[in-house]
Amino acid sequence: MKTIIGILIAGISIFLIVLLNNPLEVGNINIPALGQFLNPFTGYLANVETNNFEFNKAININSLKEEVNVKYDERRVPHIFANNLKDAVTVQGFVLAQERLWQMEFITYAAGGRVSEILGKGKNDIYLNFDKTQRRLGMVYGAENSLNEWKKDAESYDILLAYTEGVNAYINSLEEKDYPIEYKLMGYEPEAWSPLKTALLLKYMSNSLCGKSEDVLKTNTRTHLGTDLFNELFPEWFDRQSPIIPDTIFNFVHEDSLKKETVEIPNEYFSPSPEWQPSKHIGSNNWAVSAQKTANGKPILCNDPHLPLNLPSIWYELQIHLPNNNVYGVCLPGAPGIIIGFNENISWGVTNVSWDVKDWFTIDFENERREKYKLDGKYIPVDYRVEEIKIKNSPTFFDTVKYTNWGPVVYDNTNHPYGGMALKWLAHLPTNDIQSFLKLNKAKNYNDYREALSYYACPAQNFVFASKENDIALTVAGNLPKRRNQQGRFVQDGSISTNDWSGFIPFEQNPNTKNPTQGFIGSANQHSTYPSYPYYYIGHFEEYRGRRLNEELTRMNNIKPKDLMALQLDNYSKKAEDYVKVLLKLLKRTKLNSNELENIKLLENWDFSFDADKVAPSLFEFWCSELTNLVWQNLIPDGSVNGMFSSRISPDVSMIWPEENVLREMIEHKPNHKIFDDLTTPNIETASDKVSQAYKQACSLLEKEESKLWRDVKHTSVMHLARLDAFSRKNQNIGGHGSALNACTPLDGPSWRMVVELGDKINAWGVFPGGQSGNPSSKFYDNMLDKWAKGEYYELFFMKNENDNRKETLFIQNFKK
Amino acid sequence: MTWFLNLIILIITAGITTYLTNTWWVGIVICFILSLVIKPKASFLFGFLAIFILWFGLSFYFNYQNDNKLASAIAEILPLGGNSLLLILFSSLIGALPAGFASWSGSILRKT
Repeated sequence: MKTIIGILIAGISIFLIVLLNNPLEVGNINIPALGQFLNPFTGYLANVETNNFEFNKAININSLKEEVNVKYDERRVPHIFANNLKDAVTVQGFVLAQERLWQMEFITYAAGGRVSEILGKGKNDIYLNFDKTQRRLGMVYGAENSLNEWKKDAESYDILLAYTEGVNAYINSLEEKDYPIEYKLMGYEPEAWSPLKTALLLKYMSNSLCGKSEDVLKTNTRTHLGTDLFNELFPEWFDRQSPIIPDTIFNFVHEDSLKKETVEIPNEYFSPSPEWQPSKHIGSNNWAVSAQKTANGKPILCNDPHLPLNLPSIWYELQIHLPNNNVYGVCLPGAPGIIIGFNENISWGVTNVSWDVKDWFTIDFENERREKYKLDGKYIPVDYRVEEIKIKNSPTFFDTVKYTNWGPVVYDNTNHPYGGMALKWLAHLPTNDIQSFLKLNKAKNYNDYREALSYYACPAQNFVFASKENDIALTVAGNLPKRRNQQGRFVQDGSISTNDWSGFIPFEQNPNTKNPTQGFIGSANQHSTYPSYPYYYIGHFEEYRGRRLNEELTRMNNIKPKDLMALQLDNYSKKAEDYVKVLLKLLKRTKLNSNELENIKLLENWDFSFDADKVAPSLFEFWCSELTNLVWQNLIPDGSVNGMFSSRISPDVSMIWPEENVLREMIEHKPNHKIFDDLTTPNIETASDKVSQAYKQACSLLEKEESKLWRDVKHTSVMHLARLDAFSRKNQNIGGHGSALNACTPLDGPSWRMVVELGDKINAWGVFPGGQSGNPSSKFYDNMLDKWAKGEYYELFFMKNENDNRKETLFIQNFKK
Repeated sequence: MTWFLNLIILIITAGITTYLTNTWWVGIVICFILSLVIKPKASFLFGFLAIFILWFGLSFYFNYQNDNKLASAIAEILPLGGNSLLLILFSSLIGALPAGFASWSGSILRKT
């Protein structure tokens, strides 16, 4: 009897252990295996980083040819001292994995549509649908194409393999208790790194930077509004614009004069629209100022790429010192080399070009079997690609995607039995962009810089350049499609092969400039050129920041690095400058209450700067968004248009509102336009009515805010990549606006601020919103965040050699075979 | 007195074996085995206390070393209102409970 009781009690113990050794799902909350996760030996506490923490000092990696030393400075920036590039890149891979393993792997899971593998299907299949979309968009297809291209170039493929070796050497050294905290929380393990993962990371960046497409939205809107009103509300050029390349006479003509040929535009509704669009606030600033404009007589280069403000940080800072090359800057966790930075001779930085390189084509299948599609009068069989989506705790989902000569048929399951929509996207094409960065890393002068960029394809970037030899330059680099007029702006007929791009603009004819007479060159995601540029192009441009940048740099002289830091932090908005005057003129003051009258003074006294502790920006922002809604929501309903859709596809029709600048043009110059009239009332309304109504609504919205200060209304947060609040840093005390050079919006912003003064001695400063470590328990997880928020910079320690002792070394890691 | 001495021996043995095997429940098995060998009085409390003290002590120390940073974040995720002490108490309880039963069953299963 006693034995039975004993066994029963032992059974309770075993039951508890088994229960605690497995993850649980309570409702929709996933609870990690509590015994594993909470015990102090191998659980979350094994990830704790103490204040005097150091990495393992001696590391062996079999593939190393020679010894490599890594000196970490006081901000834990590694300075890699190697004798050859392959060794350096291997160690770069190891170091990145050591700091950021979870982040670099998770991004490749997201890029490749493998999130369900970790998180399950999700509520309402949210994760599975995300994965399906990524696969159907051809993310993995594009990554594989790039990988095959790399394999053709032995030199760059060797570098990728070396990087892979480094990452895997770190992964193989781990025991379960060493896995980054996120693996433990989500209950999975790191897998081996591969060059494909690097390719996926680059496709992830491509998707963020050139994944925008408004073809469907614009086609629907044009169909809805009619050609004339559409053309009035969607102009392709604004008079106030200030493009990147100064107004020059181009010494070449577009050989086919395609620019004059207008394509046929479908007059119908399409659906569904693409599910995911990159944030419109992803953009960047960069500029170079020539020696003649600076106080020290040396060129200065600046860059601040605006990306989602995430933790772990998007960027990782490092120096790579080789016998013949010494380079410093930031890299992307998961890719070899340095993406933005400087060496002893040159510096370079990037902003997004924002040209449209993503086009949608209608597909006409032969019959309901959907095996062949029409092209130039013939029916051609589709290719099939089977996407295997593994799902945690569920059977694998198989999705067969059809491929045409355009690309994947992303939208296949439409209401029309023979219809579909295929995607042609630059990110699908085989490219070797890593090669460009590796060449830039060792470039010595302007010619090297141009040569490096001639290999660059996607996502197109404005590469700004400055050299010790006092050259400054900017190249719009990347494969830029040759288009006929309006081509790719709307959905196109996929049964005609001439609707395809007519190849790419030759590299020499891509917009670029060297040592312009104005003494500076800068970009802020605005139009690349004036309309005199011989090629037709379309894109998603931001014009306010570019105007401010060119104005300020024209005005400034005798420039010091700190003046350019101030320019990176400039909260002045051309949008506010444009709007406020017009809004105040149109506002009817007779119907305002005392509070509303009082608020007018805020805007009258405003200097158009989106500063953190001002109230005027909050009021302005509310006023603009209320006005935008009032004017456009009746004219261009965002959702479905009942009874107006064509029978071709499904009833959900999405449209798009005009750009911000258009609304200002309309209220300023056409206040009596019919778009302002509300057809449900007998009166005829004008812009003035809408502006006044919006103002009253804005005042009451402002009244409801607990704190009216711009920083609180805007509420910028630096979010953890998996959206875990406890690992995020919310409500930063910062100003800025999407239309100001300091483009801090609620979730996006300057992800790396860099200022580099060239010359015999390089002086450089930088800061990013986070830290070097990806471990939330480390003080280096977010140690730079406060300084970033305050608008301060760190002086970058560009070590001359291994014995450069100007700054303290935190610790040294030694790598050998 | 011997009981406390045995408790200390158990804490140390459980700690070392768990550390060496990197398996959280090994210490609980040790509770069972030691109880089987020595048949302690108040055997549930014996195992319970041993693992509770071991886990609580280590957790408290590691957390102190980290200025409470990670534990309070985890206490927010789990969710325990960001209270790291509550998290550590809860964690220790999770180890201690099966350990108590293991130790109890060990002492019952002891034939004499």
